[in-house]
Formats: sequence, C-alpha cells, structure tokens
Amino acid sequence: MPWLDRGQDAVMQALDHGPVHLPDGLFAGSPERVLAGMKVHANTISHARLVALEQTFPRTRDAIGHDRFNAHSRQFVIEPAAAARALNDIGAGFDAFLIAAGEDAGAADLARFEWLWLQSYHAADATALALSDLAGIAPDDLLEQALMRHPAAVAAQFAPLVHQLIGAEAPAITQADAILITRPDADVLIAPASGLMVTVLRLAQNPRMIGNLLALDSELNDDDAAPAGEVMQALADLINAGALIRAD
Amino acid sequence: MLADIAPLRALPPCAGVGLKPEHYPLALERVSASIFSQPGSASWFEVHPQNYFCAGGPPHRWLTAFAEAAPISFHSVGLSIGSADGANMVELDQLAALCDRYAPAMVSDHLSWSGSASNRYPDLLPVPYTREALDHFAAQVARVQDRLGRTMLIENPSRYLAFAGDEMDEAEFLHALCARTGCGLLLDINNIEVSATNLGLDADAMVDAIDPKLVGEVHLAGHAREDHPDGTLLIDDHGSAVSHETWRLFERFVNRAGPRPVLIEWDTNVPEFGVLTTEAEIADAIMRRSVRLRQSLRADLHAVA
Repeated sequence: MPWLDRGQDAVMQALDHGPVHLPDGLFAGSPERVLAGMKVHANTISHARLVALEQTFPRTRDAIGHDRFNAHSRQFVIEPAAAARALNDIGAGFDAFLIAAGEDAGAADLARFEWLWLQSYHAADATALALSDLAGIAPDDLLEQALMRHPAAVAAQFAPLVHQLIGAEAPAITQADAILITRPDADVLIAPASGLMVTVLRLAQNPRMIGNLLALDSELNDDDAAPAGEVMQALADLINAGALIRAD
Repeated sequence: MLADIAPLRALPPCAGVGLKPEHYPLALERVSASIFSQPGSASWFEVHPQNYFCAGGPPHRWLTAFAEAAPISFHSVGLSIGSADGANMVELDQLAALCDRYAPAMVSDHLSWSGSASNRYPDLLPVPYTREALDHFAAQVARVQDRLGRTMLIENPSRYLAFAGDEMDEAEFLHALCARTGCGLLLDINNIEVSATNLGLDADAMVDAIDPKLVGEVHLAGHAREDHPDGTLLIDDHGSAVSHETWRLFERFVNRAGPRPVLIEWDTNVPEFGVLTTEAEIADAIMRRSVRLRQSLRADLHAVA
C-alpha cells in the first residue's frame, strides 16, 4: 500500500473510528499485537487531549464534577474543530459546547472565564499605564493622550455562579457587575469591575484619546449613557488595575 | 558529521534535564547560583517549544531567565514532519520565531507524523522505513531546516508497530536521512529499548548500528510496562526513572562514542527536581567512566604498539 497516498489515511481512520478500518497487511505481526500497538497510540492521543482540557478548565471540572466533566470532554475532543487544534488551543469553544450539551449556564460561563484567564496568561507583554505616568501633563494635552487596552486585559459580565466561585478568592467580586482580568506584570490578577469599565475597555480595543473616552456618553444609547465623572472614575480604575497602555 | 549548527552557546557534552514549570523556581535558583553547572550535575535545559508558542506572559519570563543562565535545547513535538500533507507550516513559523528570540543551542523533532491539517494527533506516529517515506521525510526536513536557517536533529522513534513493507532497518533509514539533509540524530536510548522489546529486535545491535558521528544529543527516560499474553509491551510515557536496561545501552553507546549532551526526560508523574538531577549525575558518572575506559584502552594500545 502506498504510504503517503493511502497508508496514513488508513491509520487515521483506524485511530478515529476503530481498528476495523485498518487494512490487512499494513503492519507486520499478529492481529493481537497490531491491535495492542494501535491502542497505545489511540490512548496516547485521547489522554493528551483530555489532560490538556482538564488543565485548561480546573475550576469548571471541580464545579460540575469529574465524571460529568470527563463525559463532556470525551465528546468535545473528538469534535472536528477540537481535533484540528493544537493542544494549547484545544479549549476554544468548550463553553459553547457545554451549553449545547445541556450543561448548566453557570458552569459553561465558568469555562468562558477560565478560557479568558488563559488568554490573559499567554497574552503579549506590555508596560501597563500608571496614573503617575499622566501626572504633570497639562489638561489639554492629557485629553490628547491616546490609550488602548493592555493585550492581557479583558473585562466581562458573567453568570452569578462565576461571581460566587471567583468571589471566594476575591470577595468584592461577589457583588460586582463584572470581572476584570489583567496581567500588568508577571501574574494574572482578578478584580471587580463595573459595567462602565467593561464598556470603556471594549472601546479601548483600538487606540482612543482620553478626551474621546470621557465623551463616552455621546457614543452610547440613552440607557448606557454615563456622566463624565463616572467615566473618569472607570478610566482611573482601569489604569490602576493595569488594564490600559499608551497607544502612541 | 553534524553540519553548520552555530548557536550562541553549544550544548555541553554532559547531562541536562527537561525543564518543567513546577521546577522553574528551584532550577533557576540553582543554575543562577552556579551550583547546577558544577561537574557531576546537569548543566543545560531542554524545553518543548510548543509550550512557549504564546505571545508573552510567565512562560516567556521564565524561559528568558533560563536562556540567560544556561544553554537551551528546543525539542519540538509538533512539526509532524512525516505527514503526507508535509510539515505543519504554522508550527514551523512559530518555531522559527521562537528560535529567533532565544537562539537555542539545539533544535530537534521526531521521525514521526502527527495527523493532517484537519486532524492533529498529539502523538508521534510511526513512519515506514521505505524509500517512498525517506524521499518524503528528507524533503520535509530540508524544508524545515531552510525555514529555520540551521540544521536540526531528528529523534529515533519508539515503535509499537512494525510495517510489513519496511525496506530497510531504522539505522539505515536514519543514516540516509542525515546524508541527504545534513541533519543530525537525537539518539533516544529508551526508545531503542522500547522498540526492540515491542518488535522483537536486538537492542544492542540497534545501538551499535548508529554512527556516533551523527549523534548530537542523547535522550534517556523511563517507560511503562504492560505484560500481554503474546509478550511484553513497553510504553514510552516518560513517567519513571531510567531503566537498568536503558542505562546499560547508554553505557554501551558512550563507550564507543564518547560523551554527548544527554537529556533526562520526565514528562508525566514529574518528581521533585532533585530526582532529575540525581539521574543526570548518573549519566555524567557513566560518561566519565567511559572517558577513563577509552583513555585506558588507548594506553593499552600504545603499549602494545
């Protein structure tokens, strides 16, 4: 059998769908021995994917229990999208999969939180802007300063279960509107966030001058409109948390 | 002979260890205090570059610190060089960027394949020892080396399956690959024990068949054992201490080849850092013994002459 044209496909079929797909004569040795060898490879592949998923979502695993997590994981890792990814990225979309699998919305949102946390952990390094960096700048010039989101910063609203579980480690999060994930230095930090901070950080996805951010109310619909003072406070809180960088 | 690998720091011909996140603080403390690089202990580190295919964050902070303190080897597990689709170009671009950033002393991957573009298997699947597979694998190694701008080492595999259509043995395949591409060999002695046991081959003969001039690095690791009605199956899980048989085969090789950079690999059930350095000290002791043996043999030959 030509290896490149057909042999590899046959091995992949056997790994994915069982040894019945393995053609006779490809491997030497007794059928039992060939089956044992194929099992080693199949087990290695399955084990590596499941461990990668466990390591990505430890809190979700704790929340829903090992058996249910394992059952979901075994289905998820053989989905075409997951099977096509490198192990580092295998968890992408696991939260949506949990919803589709009928899992509790809170548990699925916990998976979303853990995925965002991992994205922050691996994000590019950047020097976070500090309030002291802005000290001494004349007010007009200050309004012209361009800022943007730190590559490791993300703020989002989550299901109550996520606030409750993460709040066990950072109590102010329990009652917060949202959760801010940042990595201004070596470690990923978790902090409470307001809805306005979420909005400001979203707008700062692209470079924004401070003056434009303070005029935020003109960009929002009436329900979201906020006085400049509140926007200023949200901006200061984001800077203090290390969630913004200079954009110029 | 190995070709034009010209890293900033070469791997020393002594033992190193695979770097694990749980060992970062202690390993860095020891290497920074120069305790770690004393004779009789490990003096370089190896990492899987795939664990650093991220833009930034703690993994890069640690790797930067280690790269400043000791030689680093990149042992890739994801290029899938033997895939019918060709080497994974996304992984290759990421590896090239990481090499540009850290200038590792050595870069290696495996004589294996890991699926296709649409189905990536986190495993090292076997390649038949045929002229067709050799042509393809050599072309892909050349492609990888061209992209990296350097030669690399290719590791002999752990085999659980033998192809019915093999046209040459493992050493012949590897030697031909080196001759065609200029790559070197990463000789994994545990893999030889695993393959020999699983396929009923002669491990001593497999070690003896390898041209030592091509070997730029040696790997030592432990394996798991399953006893089946039709024979023992060894599984290359890197989850235990180096076996007595692998130590024996290693000594057999270094008595012929002399000291080489030797890595203690331990990837599952990772023990305390001290366990790894103890294994590294054993490897160094064996290599010192081999040097004395070779010196003694040379002296005897001189006396006879």
